[in-house]
Amino acid sequence: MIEIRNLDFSYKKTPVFSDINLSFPQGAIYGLLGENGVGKTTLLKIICGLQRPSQGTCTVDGMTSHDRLPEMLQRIVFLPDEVTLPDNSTPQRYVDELAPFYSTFSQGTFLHLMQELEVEPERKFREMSFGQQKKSLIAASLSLGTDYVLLDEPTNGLDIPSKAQFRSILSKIADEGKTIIISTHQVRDVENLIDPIVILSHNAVLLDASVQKITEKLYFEYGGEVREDALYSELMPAGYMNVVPNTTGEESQMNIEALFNAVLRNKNQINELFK
Amino acid sequence: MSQTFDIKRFGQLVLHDVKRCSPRIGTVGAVMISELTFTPLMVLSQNFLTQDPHGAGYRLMLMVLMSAFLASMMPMQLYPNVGKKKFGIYFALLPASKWEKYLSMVLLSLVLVPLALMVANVAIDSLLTAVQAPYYHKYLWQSEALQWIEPAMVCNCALAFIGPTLGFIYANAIQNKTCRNIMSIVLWLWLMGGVFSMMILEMADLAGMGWYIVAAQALLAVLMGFLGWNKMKKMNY
Repeated sequence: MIEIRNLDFSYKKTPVFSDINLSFPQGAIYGLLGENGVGKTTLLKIICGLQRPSQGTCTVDGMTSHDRLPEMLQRIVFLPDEVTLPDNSTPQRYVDELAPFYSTFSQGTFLHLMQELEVEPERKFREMSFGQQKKSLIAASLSLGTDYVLLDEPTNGLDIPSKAQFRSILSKIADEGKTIIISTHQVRDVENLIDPIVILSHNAVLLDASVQKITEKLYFEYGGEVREDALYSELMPAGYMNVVPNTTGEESQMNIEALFNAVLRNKNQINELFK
Repeated sequence: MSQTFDIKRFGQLVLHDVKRCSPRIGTVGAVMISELTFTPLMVLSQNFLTQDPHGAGYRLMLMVLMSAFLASMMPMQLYPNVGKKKFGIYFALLPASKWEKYLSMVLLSLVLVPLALMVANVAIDSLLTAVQAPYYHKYLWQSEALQWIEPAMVCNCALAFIGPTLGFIYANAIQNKTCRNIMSIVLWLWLMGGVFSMMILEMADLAGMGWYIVAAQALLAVLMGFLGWNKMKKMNY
C-alpha cells in the first residue's frame, strides 16, 4: 500500500502540497486528476522517490520512498510523460537491460503486449514515432510485473485504436491485483477505467473517492434546462448536463469531465458532501 | 538481500552499465585509438626532429600523461546524463541501491576503462619494441626512468587522474548547466596542473614540495568523492 501522511512539498518558495494525506490500497486503477501545474506529476515523483517531501512521509509497503531502496524500486515502475530513449536501442534490448533487476519480469507478457499494441520489439527507437515509442515503454513497464505502476499522461501521443488497446490492457493488469495510478488531464481517455478518483488542487486534495461513492453523493442528469441546485451545468448537443447533490439516492452515470468541473468550482460544498 | 550492498545485484548493475554505455563505446574506442596512435607518433616525430633519441622513459611519460588526460574524461563519456531529468529518472529508478550505483560509476570510470587503456598502451608499446620499431629499443619495464621516478611523482600523477575523475562524476550529477560547466573547467585546470606540477617543481628545483602537492590533491580527491556520493544520494528529479 502507498501511504502519504501530512506531506508538504514545495519547489523553492512555491508551495505545491500542504499537509496532504492519501492512501492507495492495492488492486485498483486510481485516476489522479487536476488542472495544469497542481502537482500531479510531482506527486507521482514523490511516490516513486524521485522527489523528497519537505515534511511528512510517503511510504510504499512501509518503505520510505525517497530512500529508493532496491526492494521498493523492484515493486514500482514509473512511466514519465516524456522519456528520451537511446536512439540505437530497441524495445527488446531495453527490457533485456532491465529484466535482471526484476524477478517478476515476463518476456512472454512483453511480447504479448507489444503484439497487442502493434509495435515490433526489434525495431530501433529512432525509427519509431512518438506514439510507438510510448507504446513500447508501456509494454516494457507493464511486463516488469511490479506491484505498482505509475503512469504520467500515458495516452499522450497514442492514436484512437491504441487508446482502446491501452484501456483493455490496463483492465487486465488491474484484475491481477496490481495498483495503477494514472495521472492525466485527458480524462475522457480513462473514463470508465479509473476508480477511485483523486482530484488535486493547489496545495490540497479536493476529492478522493470511489465512483460508487461519487454517484451516491452526486447526481449526473441530462436535461433540457439548467437546474437551480446544479453544482455545474454544461450545454451539450442533447441539452444540459447538470451535476447536482444526490438527495434521492438515485443512481446515475458519472460524467468525469462534469465531475471535474463541478469539484473545481465548488470546493467547499464538495468538501462538505464527501466528509 | 541487503538494501545497501549486494554483490550479485552489484554485478548485474556493472554489467548493465557496460551494456548501457555500449553506444558510447564507439567514442571511447575512438579516443583510445587516437591516444594509442598518438604516443608512437610523438615518439617517432620527436626523435626524428631532435635527432636526440628518447628512451623508454620518454614513452612512459607520454603514455601516463595521455592516459591520465583521456581516462579522466571517461565519466563525461560514460555517464553524461545522470543529472538530466529525462535520462536520470531511468537511472534513479533502477532497482539497485544508491551506493551500488555510485560504486559502479567509480569502478567503470576509475578502474575498468583506464585499465583497458593502460593494458592497450603497454601491449602496443611492447609489440613495437618486439618488432624493433625505430627508437623502440627497450621495453617499458627495462627503462632507466623507472629508477629515478620518485614516489611523490607517481602519487601526484595518480591523484591528478583520480581526483578529477571523481570530480567529473560529481559534475555529471550537477543539474544546473552553468554550474556543471564551471565545475568542468575547474577540473580540467586541476587535471593539467596536477599532471604537470611535478615537472614544474623539478624544473624549479622544488621537488621537495612534491608531497605537499600530493597531500593537497589527496584532500581534494576525497572531497570530490564525498561531494559526488552526497549528490547522488540526495538527487531529486
